[in-house]
Amino acid sequence: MAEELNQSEFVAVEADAVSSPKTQGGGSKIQNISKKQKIWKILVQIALYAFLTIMAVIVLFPFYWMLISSLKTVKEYEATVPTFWPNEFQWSNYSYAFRSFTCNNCGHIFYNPIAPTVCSECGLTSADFGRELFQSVGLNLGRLFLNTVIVGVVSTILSLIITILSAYAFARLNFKGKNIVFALLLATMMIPGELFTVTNYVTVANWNLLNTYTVLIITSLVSVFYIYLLRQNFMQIPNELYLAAKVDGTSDLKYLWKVMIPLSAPTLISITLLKMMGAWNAYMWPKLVANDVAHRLITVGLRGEAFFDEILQKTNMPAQMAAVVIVTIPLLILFIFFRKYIMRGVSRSGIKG
Amino acid sequence: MTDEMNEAVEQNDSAEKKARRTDFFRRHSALIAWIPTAILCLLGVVLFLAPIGNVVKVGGDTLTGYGALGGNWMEGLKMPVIVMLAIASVSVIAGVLGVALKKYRNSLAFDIVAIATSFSAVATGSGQIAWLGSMSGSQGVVYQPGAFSILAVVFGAIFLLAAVGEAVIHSVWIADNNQRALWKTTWGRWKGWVYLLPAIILLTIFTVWPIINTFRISILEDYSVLAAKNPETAHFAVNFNNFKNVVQYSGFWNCLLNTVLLTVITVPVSTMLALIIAVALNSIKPLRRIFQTIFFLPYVTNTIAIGMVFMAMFQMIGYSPTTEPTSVGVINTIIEAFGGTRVNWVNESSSKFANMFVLCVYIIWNALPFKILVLLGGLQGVNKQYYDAAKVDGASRWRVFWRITVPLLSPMIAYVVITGFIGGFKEYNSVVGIFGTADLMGPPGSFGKPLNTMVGYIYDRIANNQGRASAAALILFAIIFIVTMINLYVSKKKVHY
Repeated sequence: MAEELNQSEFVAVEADAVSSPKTQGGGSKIQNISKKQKIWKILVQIALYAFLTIMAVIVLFPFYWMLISSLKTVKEYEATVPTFWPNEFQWSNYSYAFRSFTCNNCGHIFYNPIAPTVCSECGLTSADFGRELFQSVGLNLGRLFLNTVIVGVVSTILSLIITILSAYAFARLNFKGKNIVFALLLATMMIPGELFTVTNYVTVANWNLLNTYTVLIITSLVSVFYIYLLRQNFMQIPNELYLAAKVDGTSDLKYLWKVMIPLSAPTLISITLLKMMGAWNAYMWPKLVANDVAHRLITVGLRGEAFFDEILQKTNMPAQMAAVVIVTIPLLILFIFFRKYIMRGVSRSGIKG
Repeated sequence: MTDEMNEAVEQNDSAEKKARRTDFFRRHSALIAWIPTAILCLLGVVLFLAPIGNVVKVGGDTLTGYGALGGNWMEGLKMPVIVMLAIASVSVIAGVLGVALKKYRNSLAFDIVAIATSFSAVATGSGQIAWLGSMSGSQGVVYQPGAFSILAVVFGAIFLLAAVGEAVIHSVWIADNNQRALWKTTWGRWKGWVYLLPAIILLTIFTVWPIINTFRISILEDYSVLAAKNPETAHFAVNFNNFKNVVQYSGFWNCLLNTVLLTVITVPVSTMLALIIAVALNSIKPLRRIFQTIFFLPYVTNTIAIGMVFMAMFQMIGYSPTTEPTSVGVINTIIEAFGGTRVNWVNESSSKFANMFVLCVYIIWNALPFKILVLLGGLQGVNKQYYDAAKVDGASRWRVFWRITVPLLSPMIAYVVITGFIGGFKEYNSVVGIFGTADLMGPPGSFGKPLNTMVGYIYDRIANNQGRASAAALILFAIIFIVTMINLYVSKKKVHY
């Protein structure tokens, strides 16, 4: 494969680097050596850039392929020699992913996230038609977006409140048993999440919470890691500020809101972003507990069989790629604007979402 | 004279009496003011128990006592009722003890007890009504809220209001400055726990309880929620058959093998590659930021979505074992352009070797960003003097890399290897992304999920057989634990801090 090729090329460059100083050692004039060294340095730099460029191309290629595939027609996608630039841009692939319902009477296709009551084309309702007038088709990406945004926003806000309060208690307040509780919390971080999932499924099934928004939000509200991260940040804020605020008669909550939160905004932004990305990328738990149309999240919906085209009798791959683009682009936009915060949060956590 | 004296004495007497009386009231005013609270408490407890007096008919069975509060254990209301009963009794005992020991005589403990009991009464009463309402129509339940429940709800609500009023009266009128100061310090001492309360409640339910319960249900043979809900099937044998069944199932070993293979291949390769890229990035200046951003891009993606792109890249279009493909796919086109022959990567009847290769490529692509980020961060923190010293000594680049860069980076390398192993053993999403839905987990036309992983195995069983799922989860936990311990042991010997 290409990757292995590059690697060996790089090693070869390194190997050259090993052998060259010895040959230089025999040079008689110092000026000559420095000149040779300069040339050598430039050569190494060129090799480095070449290697990095090839690796960058490999890293970027899937993104490129995703984008151009999403704009091809089905015919062009299946061409014997793959084209590296679409002959004509098939933008309708994108609307294909948003199809939600079709009228059984006139065949009109809807893009509403929620089932319509009256067909805007032929004016019929289910009652007029005698049986169910609207049939769900396609991915209904609008609905998936709506569900994901609801779950993402609510869980992020609640989780931020809980994280801030807990981190504040651990960083600033003194109470009996604080250190023991903190140590216990850190200890739970060692245990893989799959161990919790089994019992959590039992719990939510017992509470009749399956197929609700609640079940998608509630189990992951508390992240010990984020509490830890924020606590470390809060600890860096000098205690003198707190004591001064106390002398002035400021309440704890006001101090938290006016001083602590603004001062640790970068960490809070990192937590918010990672939490949002987590909701966007969640697959296993949502698929297990809320896989109905009304609550399905975007990643779960993406990996369904929704792109089987009845007319073509096969999967409409360009449309599927369009859906993949739609799911990927928000993350990339987020990354472009908040690069610093995301990278910092990631380098500390080592977790995806 | 004597009259005057007598009068004075009498006056003195009555003044003393009066003073004593006021003193008595002053000293015991708090206690007296709590008499209505105490009555509220007692009535609250009685009301709290009142719904038990209802007679409920469910599907021909007549339920009385606690049975009238809900169906089976854990289902319906029994659990919350038991919890509330525990809270109520603990608070009653605490209140009584506190008053008896005169320790909390001036605190609000008794008011809190009154609030808790009347609240419990409202909760149980309304809970029973809601439960009957939800059962209405099924199992032959005729929805008729019991008189005792209505009593509990109505009077409980009145008492709740009264108790809250009492608490306000106590805290505003009776408390003097000393008591307020006492309350303030008490609040200061407990404030931390109040701030932690939401986190602790959620963690108890969704983190601490699962740790205990997973062990419990792993030794209950074929435990499942559905079976546990039905009184006739709610008996599970206590043994280790879950573990035995998991291990004896051939699919399990396949999952384990896949997981181990993916981990053992991808972690070293991606770490080496990431190290080389990080070193290369660290030795250039212009364009470094741009390269850094590009190499980080795979991290901010949806694993399933980009998995589908990889599938599309490796896939041959229109291929079946009997027909030629209309297109060999972009990767095969590139291979053929370099003079190679096409490979059946992910299509029907593709070899497992090819499947695993695609998976490994994807997982490495996905794992690079984090590793590069950490290693580059480590490289930038390395003291430049080491390199200057090496330059003075005329050490070769190769030597510098192995003798300076790698040892100085070893803590970061250990970190990415350990997290890589842990992540590798939890691999699942990338397989779903490339090899179709979670029901297929292999190339088209395959059976028995040939590419399933350990996490996939657990998730397949969660919905129907939590007993086996928890046994498998414990096995996975044990494996990860052992591997991490080995990693830590090795890194302790090799890492230079």
